[in-house]
Amino acid sequence: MSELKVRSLSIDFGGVRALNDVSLDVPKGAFVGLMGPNGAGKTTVINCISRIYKPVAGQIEFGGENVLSLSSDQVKQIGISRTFQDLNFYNLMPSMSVLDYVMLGQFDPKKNRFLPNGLQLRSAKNYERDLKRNARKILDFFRQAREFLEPPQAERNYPILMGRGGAPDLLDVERSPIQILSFAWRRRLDLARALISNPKLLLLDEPAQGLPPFEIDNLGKILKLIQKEFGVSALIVEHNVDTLMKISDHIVVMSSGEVIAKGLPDEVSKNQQVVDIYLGSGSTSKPGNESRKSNVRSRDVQPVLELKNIDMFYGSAQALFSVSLKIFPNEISSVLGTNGSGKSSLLKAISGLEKPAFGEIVLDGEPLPLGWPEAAVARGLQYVPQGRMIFPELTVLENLRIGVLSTKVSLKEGLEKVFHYFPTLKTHLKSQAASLSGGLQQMLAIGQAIMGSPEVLLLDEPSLGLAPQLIESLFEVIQNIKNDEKCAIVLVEQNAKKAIEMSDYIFIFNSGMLIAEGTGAQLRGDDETLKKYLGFH
Amino acid sequence: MDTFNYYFALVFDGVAYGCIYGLFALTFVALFRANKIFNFAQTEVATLGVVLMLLLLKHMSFWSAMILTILASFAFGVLLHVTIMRFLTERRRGSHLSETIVTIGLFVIFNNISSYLIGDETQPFPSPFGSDVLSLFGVPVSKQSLGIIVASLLMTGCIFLVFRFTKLGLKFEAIAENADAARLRGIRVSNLLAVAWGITIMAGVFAALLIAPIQYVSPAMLISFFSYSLIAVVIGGLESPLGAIVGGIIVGVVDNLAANVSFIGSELRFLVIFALLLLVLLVRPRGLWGRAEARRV
Repeated sequence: MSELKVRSLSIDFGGVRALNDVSLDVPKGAFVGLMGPNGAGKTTVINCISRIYKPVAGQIEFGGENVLSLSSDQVKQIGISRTFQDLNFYNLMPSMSVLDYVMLGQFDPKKNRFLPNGLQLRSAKNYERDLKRNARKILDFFRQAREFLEPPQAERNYPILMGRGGAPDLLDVERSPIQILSFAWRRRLDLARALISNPKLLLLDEPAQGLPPFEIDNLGKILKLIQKEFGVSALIVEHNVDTLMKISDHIVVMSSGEVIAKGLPDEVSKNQQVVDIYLGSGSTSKPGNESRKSNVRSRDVQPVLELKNIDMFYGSAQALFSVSLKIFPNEISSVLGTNGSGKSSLLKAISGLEKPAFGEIVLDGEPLPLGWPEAAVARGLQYVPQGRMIFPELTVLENLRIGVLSTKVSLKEGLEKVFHYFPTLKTHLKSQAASLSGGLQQMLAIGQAIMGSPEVLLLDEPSLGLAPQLIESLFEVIQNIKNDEKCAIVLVEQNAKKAIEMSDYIFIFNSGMLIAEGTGAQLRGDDETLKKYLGFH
Repeated sequence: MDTFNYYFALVFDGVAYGCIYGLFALTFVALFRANKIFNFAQTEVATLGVVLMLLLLKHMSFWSAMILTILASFAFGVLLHVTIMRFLTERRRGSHLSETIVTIGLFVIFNNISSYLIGDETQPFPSPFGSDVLSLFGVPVSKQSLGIIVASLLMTGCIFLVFRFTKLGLKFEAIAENADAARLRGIRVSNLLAVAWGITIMAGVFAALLIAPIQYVSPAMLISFFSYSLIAVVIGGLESPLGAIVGGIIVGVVDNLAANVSFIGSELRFLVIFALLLLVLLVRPRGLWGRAEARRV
């Protein structure tokens, strides 16, 4: 008998169908992992269950109750408790105490009225005492859980995450403000907050996001302990497939708003459709030019770009862990990895859009100032971010004029180069960039970047949102750019098969770390690495 | 014919005042587009510029004092960005609201400095245009007003030409649209913002110098200009340079007419302006030339 039943759930966002006929079950006491690429609709499902979004069709039933007829408050009362992807509460109330934060999870305005509370009546005191007792019970669970966890390693790479003197005992710091906790402990505290209301079902939205690898392992162990100790079931959205497979009893895979596979973790990881979604489908036809690929990395060529031990953080969440790699001229290097593996962060770090906390980036033998994109451009490094950062209200010509502003190239030369690769743009020079189709906007963005003959070109998911035929021709142009301009291209791409096919060298990222690299031939013969890249075991 | 002359003169003087409102409004809009900050201290810095020129006039001729003041105001704008605003705007997670509130603090500080330098008494200011009346196609107009209109339109024209036809202007457009994307194309945003501060402060001081002969010099000389030019910005549309100028002229003309209609008079003129503001916002909530936010993709 399943505890949570979701049936034919559909929802539209401004005419776009975000969920289409989604059905899933969470049996009593079971952990169900919900996986899928970005934009699959995973968080939307959770938001529908917790009554943040209102679906246009479908039923949600929990323990015999019709969830869709309840308010978000009432959803909590029938035993559904959730966590959020970003730890918003911390930013709102960083000085709140650890104990208060956990108590917040069971706070019920109906039982905690203003007057009794202000007058410190017995009823209010009793209510608060009970809340505190419950909160301490939960914190005590986390203390006991510590012995099952890996002790923190005092490594150079994780200075911020460790806090002071290793992991704290939450009970010892219950009066301290939550801002003293390390990021990993904040994530755990969020679980504590969700657990205090004695839920029967937990909705966890990316509980491992921003955690270093060994903390992800710890989180998996804690979640298993929670399942045993509290007998609670859970619906878990998580990008770290490896962990999700380990802790889940069932897996549901979504893509583009639809459920495409369900089953035990083992079955799902063998499902070809699922593998295709993560690796990119089709395009296995062309056999790559093996002789060219196997010998490209001759060691006597100087790298044009070198990263040495780059660590980068967003706030206190670490996005890159001591990444070191070399990019060689006249090569396409692809960066692959699941969502949240640090691919885009890598390009942002190199381009200077985000500033790494530690490490060194060397361009042409000389160090590049970190976090300073203008300087990187002046040194011949161009970056086309995801989502085509063009200037939408300016005309195509104005956009292209901006492309040569900071280069030594004249507008005429620059335009010639752009039209050579993208002749279609010629007919749209006077149009407003915003009025162009997605494909033309992408051409414009790449055009802007290549006008000044860059030495290194960083492309973040150039094929995102484009029609299949367009993607083929775009990749062809990228090949041509590499061959004619002799520049190094670093490509972040979702379609892994395609990327492996067209690249000279591949880097595979997972959880912010570079876990494998090699030529396409090396990787294609290496099923283990591909599995590792997928996170499947 | 006399009535026509009377009302024409009212409109003409209104346009002159309106040009000054428009020039101030233009500086608000230009800086807002580039830096996403409303520089509330703008009119007070301009007052300080007039005070500086008044002090310089004791030592040199009118024109050399004016050129020196204009140059100094550009440098002062750059300095404001480099020493104060840069540190506020370049924090990645700083909010533009807090930066704007800092400019309110600067408003008070500059007002006090003006008081300290020349006291609170109003003082006369020489006019380069003279105060006679000129006959324009048989209609008498004041030379002062004509001078203000011509000079401020020239200034506006210069700013327009720079922004429309130079690489500097293109860079500003790029920053206004998306500062991060501009940095990725190698545009040095911080340097450009310093120039934006220099140009807007300079244009503000220029406007204040034009109006000073009529308005007389005192620390409070531009207080009403502050509110009128803000209204002009809202009427014209927050990010539209053309809207700023037209909005300024509309405000100037309506205000001058209202002040001279007997049943309204100078006591209630402000009421009329606010009624106008409400009317425009009711009909076009984003101002006359305002753009819908949704178009910014």
